[in-house]
Amino acid sequence: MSSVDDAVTYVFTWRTRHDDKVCVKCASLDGHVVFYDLFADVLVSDTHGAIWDLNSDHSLAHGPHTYGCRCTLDVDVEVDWTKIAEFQELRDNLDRFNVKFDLVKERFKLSSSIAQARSQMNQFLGDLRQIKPELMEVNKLFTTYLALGDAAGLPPDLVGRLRGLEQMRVGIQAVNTAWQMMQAGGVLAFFTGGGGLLLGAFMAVGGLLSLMQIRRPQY
Amino acid sequence: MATPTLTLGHGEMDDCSTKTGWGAVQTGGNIINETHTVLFGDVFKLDAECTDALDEYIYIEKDVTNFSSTVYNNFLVRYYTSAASNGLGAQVEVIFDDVTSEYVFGSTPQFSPVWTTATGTLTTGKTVDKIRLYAKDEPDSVTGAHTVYFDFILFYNTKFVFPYVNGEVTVNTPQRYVDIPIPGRVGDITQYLGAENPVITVSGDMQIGSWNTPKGETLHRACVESHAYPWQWFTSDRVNCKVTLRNFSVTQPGGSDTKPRYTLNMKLYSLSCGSNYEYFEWLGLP
Repeated sequence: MSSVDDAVTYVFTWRTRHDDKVCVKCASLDGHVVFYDLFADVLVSDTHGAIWDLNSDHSLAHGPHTYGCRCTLDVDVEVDWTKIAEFQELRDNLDRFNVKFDLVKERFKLSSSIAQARSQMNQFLGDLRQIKPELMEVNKLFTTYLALGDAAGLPPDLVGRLRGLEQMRVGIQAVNTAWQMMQAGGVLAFFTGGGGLLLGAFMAVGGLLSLMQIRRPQY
Repeated sequence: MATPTLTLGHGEMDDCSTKTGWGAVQTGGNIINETHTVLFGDVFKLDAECTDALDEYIYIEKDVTNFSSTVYNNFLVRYYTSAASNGLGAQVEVIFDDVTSEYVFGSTPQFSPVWTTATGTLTTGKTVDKIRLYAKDEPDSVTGAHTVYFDFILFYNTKFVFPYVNGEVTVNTPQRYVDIPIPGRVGDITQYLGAENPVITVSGDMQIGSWNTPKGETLHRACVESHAYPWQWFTSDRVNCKVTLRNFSVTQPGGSDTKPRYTLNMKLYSLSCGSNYEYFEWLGLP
């Protein structure tokens, strides 16, 4: 089963104040992008090394103390919905009903305070984990629905199946109504003779024909 | 051929182009006529005259914005000395914020009568507070006037080592000529408008050598973010110079050979006039 954590990528971008007080070290980091875990202790760049203490939320470029470094981190999160299997399955299911939607990567800006960004992500990941079982249920409904269509011998085209199932529902309802009318016709015949029974039988045949109509392959 | 390299993750650096930020020359021992000048707008020149056989030195010091010796623990210095082996030699010392110190280059004075790029490593877990450049006559002492030159110092995190170069590190020196058309005249008027800095090109196959996704991506991103550095230090067999990265291109040829090839164009960076390039020995031409 895919993990929601696999679907998110954190993007850190170093920002200086862009004024003449920016030191040469921070200037060389300005705009530098690092893909790293928001919940790690230290942000490590492949070209600059360990540059930010994520727990204490300050730069490490100047050593263990901040020395008044005014730089900040922009924190973005990219969510790749295709990496969540339940969303993929839902997309595939809907696609079979000609309902199209693309699962794309989306990028959201988080707070530049690491503590707040972590809190935002905990909330988001919690919601995502919660929605996964619900999506699984929806996908199960699709599966059941399709199985029902197969069992009823409906055409593989799902739009056709939907139409067929609707016609089947109407047909069943017609048969049911006809049956009730035939019963009523019996009662009527009891009072009027054979005419009421004939009318009820005619309506029942109409319902059955309607049911047969929907089982005919449609090309 | 030696694998070319390019510095990444720059921390403290000084181009030795201005005395701003550097203190007055300090002396030790019986040394006289000490001066600190900037040559060609791009080189520090430390002159002094040793007067006896005792240890003598001069140094200049820069109080830098503190930086981590863990993050920027690699060091490069480019220098040369007027004395080949005995006289004033070069040393670089860093002073940490706990007032301890370390010679990051040259535990004893180093000599080189040609431009040399030397490396050093900082002890990690410290915070660098000050940097000192020395011209030192110790312990092998002689009298007389000597000079130590510094081109740059650079503390950095890592280097990009080109996994594979197809033997192609080329240097082009474009000249700026303008052909001015004159109405009615047969032929142009040719006007010379100087020359561009040399363009250095490295190219190669991206499927030979230890290329892999992060490596190619690292080079691409280094190029995208290179504007943050004034320059980067490029090394190869012959060409060793400051560069700015200009264009990184990757081509996947058609046909049977589909291996992607890369080309990186860099431009030599210098604050000095190009007429002095020979002095700096950057291009390593025979």
